[in-house]
Amino acid sequence: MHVVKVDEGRFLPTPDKPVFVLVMGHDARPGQTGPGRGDALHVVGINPGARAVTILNIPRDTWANIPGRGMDKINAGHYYGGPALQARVVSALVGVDISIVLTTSFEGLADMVDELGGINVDVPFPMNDRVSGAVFPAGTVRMDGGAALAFARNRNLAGGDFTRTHDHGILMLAGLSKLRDSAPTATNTLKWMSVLARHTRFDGIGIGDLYRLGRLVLTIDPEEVRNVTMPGTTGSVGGQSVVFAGASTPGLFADFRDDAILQRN
Amino acid sequence: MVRRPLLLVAGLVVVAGCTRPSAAAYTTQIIPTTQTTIPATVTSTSVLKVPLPPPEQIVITGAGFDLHAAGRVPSVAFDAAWAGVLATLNRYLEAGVLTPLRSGGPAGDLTPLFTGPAAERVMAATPDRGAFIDEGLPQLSDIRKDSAVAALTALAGTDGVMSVVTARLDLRLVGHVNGAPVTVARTGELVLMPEGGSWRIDAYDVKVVRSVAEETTTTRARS
Repeated sequence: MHVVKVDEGRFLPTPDKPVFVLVMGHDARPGQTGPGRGDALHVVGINPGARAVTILNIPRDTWANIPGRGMDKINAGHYYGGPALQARVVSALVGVDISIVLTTSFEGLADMVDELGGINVDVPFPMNDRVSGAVFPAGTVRMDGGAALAFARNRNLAGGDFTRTHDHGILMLAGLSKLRDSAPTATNTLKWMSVLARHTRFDGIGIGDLYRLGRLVLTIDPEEVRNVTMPGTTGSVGGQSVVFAGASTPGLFADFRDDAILQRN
Repeated sequence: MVRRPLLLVAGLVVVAGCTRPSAAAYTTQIIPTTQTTIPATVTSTSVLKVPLPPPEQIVITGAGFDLHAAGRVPSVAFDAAWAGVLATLNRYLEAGVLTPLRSGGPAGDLTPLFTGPAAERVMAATPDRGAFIDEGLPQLSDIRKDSAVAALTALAGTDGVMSVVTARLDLRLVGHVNGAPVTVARTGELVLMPEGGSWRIDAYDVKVVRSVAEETTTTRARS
């Protein structure tokens, strides 16, 4: 995993100000040169005072402005400028100030799930996709790292990438539930953080600030987490299949950015 | 001819019930006097003051040291961190607990012991302040500890720098007011981080139970 602080100063959450973190998966394979494209983009908005979280999923093919490059699929931000540029692009689209970017590869995701000892995932409907290996019944399914990766990669879904992106939010919720179930006192959290740190590269942020973020997240009851995907329509630009923001998207973003809690959506 | 007194021993009188116990408090004791010769023209009385024993020294000590590290931590840094954290905890104990309990007055300045956001919460007149600071109680005498320990756990990154320490606190004190026992039992977790050259309390989950005569109150604060 790679953790990058993209704004200035220490990470010091306060009850009166929402925090926005970009959680991103990229599709770079081992041995591949270049940073890869952002494969999964999720803006996690945390309201520390209300102890509530909204996961706002952004389809990777969303048509967006890439500074210095013009219009392109939003996930090109990572390819052209790594986590920092990707954060700028998403920040501009949604209208929030992203302070931290957490990036993981496919292998990193599987490793983290295995470090947790597996997670319980609420599979929304039966899956049977041989390409990704996602073969699951609907309901609560215990997944190890390999199974979680298959669940995350499955594109054979009604709703296509919209549904897949939403499924990533389900995985994050499952991870949060698992961590909370381990009764994370401040002391227990240190153990998990040291495990995380062994698999993590830090840029512009120390483990102390990451601990603050982790502690903040672990105060959140999964029942207080909304998992929402940006509405949009599919289209084509220059032969590329892209996603255009829906008519209700600006309202969703406005509802999200003021306090990270959706009151009207 | 004036007769020189061979021996003159002063009688001392006990002063009962010190009103403001402190390290400099005094009592006097009755000592049997023997008077052999007292010239009629000479009378003398004097009172010797014998200092009370100082209050029991109460210090928080470490009850275990654990380390979760993603990199190697030099032993010098390890020792320095533990000493620094215990120093902060004991400065808190002195300023926030013992000073108000022994005087019945306000606490000392705890601002340097907390990071900015935590200091704002604890210094204001909030329940958080009530969980940390023992103000508003009667002045206690004869304060002693039933327990004053903290189990410490640290986190260090791949650079080997200890960046977070948690202290699981068990601080139980007993004193008296007008002969009646008073207990103050404080437990919970403090999270400390290095800032400005010292370790400071950044977050907490603390509960204090105070029993005065027949009345017990519980105050909890969590950041």
